[in-house]
Amino acid sequence: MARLGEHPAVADSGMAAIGYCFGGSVVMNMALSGMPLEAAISFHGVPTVAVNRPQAFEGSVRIHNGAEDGFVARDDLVALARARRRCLSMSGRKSGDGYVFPRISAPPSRPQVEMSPATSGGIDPEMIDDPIGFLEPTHGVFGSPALLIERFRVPFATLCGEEVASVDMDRRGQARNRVDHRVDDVRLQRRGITGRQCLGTRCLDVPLPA
Amino acid sequence: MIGAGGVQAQTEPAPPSSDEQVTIQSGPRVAGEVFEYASGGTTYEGYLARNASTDHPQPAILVVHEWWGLDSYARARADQLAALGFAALAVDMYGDGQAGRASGGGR
Repeated sequence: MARLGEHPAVADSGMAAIGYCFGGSVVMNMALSGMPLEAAISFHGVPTVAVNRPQAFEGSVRIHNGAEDGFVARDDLVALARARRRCLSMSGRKSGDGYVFPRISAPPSRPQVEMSPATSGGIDPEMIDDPIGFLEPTHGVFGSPALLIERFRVPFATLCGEEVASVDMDRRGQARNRVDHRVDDVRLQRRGITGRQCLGTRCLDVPLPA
Repeated sequence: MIGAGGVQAQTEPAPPSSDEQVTIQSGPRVAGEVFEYASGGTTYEGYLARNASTDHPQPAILVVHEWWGLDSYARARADQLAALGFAALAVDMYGDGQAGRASGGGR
């Protein structure tokens, strides 16, 4: 982080971290260890708590896991959730960030992503956050909650495949047709593309793994 | 502080057999560069993406890859964030050009 902060392209306005799968575990443990991040966001992360003594964390925390994700045991996810709560309480904060369980069975980087919502599968209802709720952050990133929404809305809506169906916002925050997105994803998968993720006018086609 | 160990509830998925190609169709021009750093005698090569249309410093985001290491997927995420106005570093967790060594580390 220090090395990155020295780069001329990097502003001195804080950093955030996003991790996928193993990387999700990494960023959660960065938060648990109290690293100076403005936000730590995990997508289908492995819920390993590697920090023996969780420290206070001032940033925002988001955990995105599918309730029916067979690669993550529910008890392990709950253990991570508890560790996170301890971490937040140490900084004198209420647990306002919430969790998002998109109720899918596979991580979004996989071709077999189940796009249709499944049941909540026994997950404690209080742990299921409104999928839109994380767009209303309780803690600012880079200084301004409004800026957070402005800057993170699109990434949240498009960087995480499982959220495409449930948090379907365009760049201006306008709701779009969920069904169309699902149909579009199916069509793309038939063409051998995991997903097409568009940010404004820019689109990425992510091909299926060989 | 941060361990690579993971909980393995099922057989872990196979990593991609090759570095997937991601096609950038249109949109803001993103400049990417190798971002080298070292720690504990190990050299790491991350990928730093930024929006090439501005010289103004941007807030930074770390993108941490899946267990098999830094690949085009994480780089594509960094590119996406860069197009949104961030300086996004897809980090290299293993270093020295290694990838996917943590076979028991989750997915």
